[in-house]
Amino acid sequence: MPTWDVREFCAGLLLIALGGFFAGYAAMNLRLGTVASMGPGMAPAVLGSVLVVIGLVMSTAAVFRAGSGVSFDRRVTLVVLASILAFAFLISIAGLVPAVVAQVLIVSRADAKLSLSVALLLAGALSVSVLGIFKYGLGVPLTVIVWPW
Amino acid sequence: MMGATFAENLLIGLQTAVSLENLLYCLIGVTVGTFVGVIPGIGSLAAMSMLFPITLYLDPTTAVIMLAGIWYGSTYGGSTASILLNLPGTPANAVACLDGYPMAQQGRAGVALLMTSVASFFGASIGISLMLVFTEPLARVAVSFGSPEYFSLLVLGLIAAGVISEGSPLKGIGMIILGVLIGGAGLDIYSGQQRFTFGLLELMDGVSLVALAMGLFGVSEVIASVRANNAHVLKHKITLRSMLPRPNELRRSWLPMFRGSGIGAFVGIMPGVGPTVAAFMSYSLERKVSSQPEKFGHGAIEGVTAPESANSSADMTSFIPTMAMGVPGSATMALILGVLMMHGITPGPNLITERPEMFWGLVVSFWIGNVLLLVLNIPMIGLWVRILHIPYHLLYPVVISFICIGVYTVSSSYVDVVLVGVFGLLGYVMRVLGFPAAPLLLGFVLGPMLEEHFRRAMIISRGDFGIFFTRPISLAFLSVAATFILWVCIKSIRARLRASPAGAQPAPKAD
Repeated sequence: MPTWDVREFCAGLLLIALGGFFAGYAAMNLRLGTVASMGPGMAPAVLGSVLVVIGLVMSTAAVFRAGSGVSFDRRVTLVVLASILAFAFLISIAGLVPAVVAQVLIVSRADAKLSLSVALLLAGALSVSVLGIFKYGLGVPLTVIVWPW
Repeated sequence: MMGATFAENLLIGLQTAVSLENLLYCLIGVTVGTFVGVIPGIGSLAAMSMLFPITLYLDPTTAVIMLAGIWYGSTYGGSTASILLNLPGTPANAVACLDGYPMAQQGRAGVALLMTSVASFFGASIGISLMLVFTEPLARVAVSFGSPEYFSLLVLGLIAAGVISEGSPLKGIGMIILGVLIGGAGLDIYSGQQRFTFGLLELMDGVSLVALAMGLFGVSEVIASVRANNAHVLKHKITLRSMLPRPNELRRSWLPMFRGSGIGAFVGIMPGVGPTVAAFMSYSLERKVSSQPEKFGHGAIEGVTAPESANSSADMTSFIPTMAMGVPGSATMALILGVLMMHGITPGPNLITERPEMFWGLVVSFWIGNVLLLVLNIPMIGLWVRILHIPYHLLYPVVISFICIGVYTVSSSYVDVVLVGVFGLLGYVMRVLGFPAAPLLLGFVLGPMLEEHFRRAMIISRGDFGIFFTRPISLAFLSVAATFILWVCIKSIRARLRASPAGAQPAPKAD
């Protein structure tokens, strides 16, 4: 049982990180201008700073409060993200079918209940139906598969 | 002449709505919506995001008809899971669990299911009638709005959405700001400089709304749900005859449905609040005015019909501010606004006069959609119930695939697919840390508008901030926004004060 509110603390940390990123990037790379004639960097800098302040308030309050821990499913997150990245990587160089197959095979590893053979079947059925709906049904330009020779 | 007469407008609407294409996509929309609503865990926003890419190949009116169908359809289907499984299919149906599930346990599930469909239809019809009457006058008022008024209205909408969302209002406001920041990426209109594009050509037009919505709502939902325990036990048999209510139940339901529709209509128009708040308010009201309040929570039919009327009515009236003023009041409306903008249409007060067939066609198709839903839900209840048996581990790979493919077909850019992953991660982290996602989407869509109107107002006033306060309408909007903030602060201070002496005194009676 944590003695301080881990979840709220991390929440505040997230806001500080994001706000700091936006404000910092804007201040360094964009012209801020004055209030009367604002440059492109003014809004992100101001808003980012506000976010940092909110985050600081949240995190400091969290240290003095008992709270719940955080549960984060690392495996599922990594598997799903990996499958999406695999799709992104393969779709332009290998075409739709390899991308879908790779993506389904990878994402099926997230839940132990899905066996490899069922995943393969699912990937096949999905490729066919997606091609039917998007390529032939709606006329979307999609490469089915890119042959390396 | 100002415009066509009411009857002429309805005729235009009817002609548009009954075109074969619009009817087909309305049917698709409401069916998908019901399906999505029935399954707990997949929200209507995720479904709308997934079908977003398809809408780009459709006529804009058709696109909005379909997306809207998904949205109000999901509220119909959501009550099914609430009643049968005590799990809300959508947040707006959470209240239906309170009295719907006890009704199911008493063997009256069929009645509850039928009455919620009827109540939803009733509420929607009232909401649509209000749409027909009020949108045009509201649009005429909005034509006189200038940049200061728009800015203040947007601020009001964003603050309302931020403080009323689930979770702490501080987190809600934080998410709105984050949304505005992300929305600022891209080419800056005034200086021509690139902001936050990191040298990527694909980001010059800004972050893709599709990628953001799909990642934030779709991918994050999948990540959160994959390992959740999905064993649903369904033990009720639903036959057509078991659905007929007792006559006194019918009699007890009329007034609650009226009251619910009224609350829903009012709540729907306000920015920031929507069907969920309407349903909860309606339930509280019914319990207060009932002659038998002790029945609530144990299968009172009013506790089921009134909130369903409320949320369906709110579904319809939510379109009024979006159509009349171009200011969306919720994340769903923001998505629909995004669709229109991607088709090159800027909704605003002129939309009704410039494209009457879109507005009136939409309204008529809403009514057609609700009729379709009534037909879909009542006889096909058995089918929907069986769908709840599909194991999730077969569903989620399909969902991720559709998300990836969908976003790729919009821009043919792998960068957008990567963005989906990035926002999926962000969305999941936000979920774990208790941040609401809807305000982020709202901030993202409205942020550029907010900045544009602010800078224009500053140019008009030559740097004088007072312009927002000297113009009466703008001042009114900002005052309401300030009231919201004040109210929330007072609430939290009161809650904090009540919590601290609780340790010293015996536990106070719950009010």
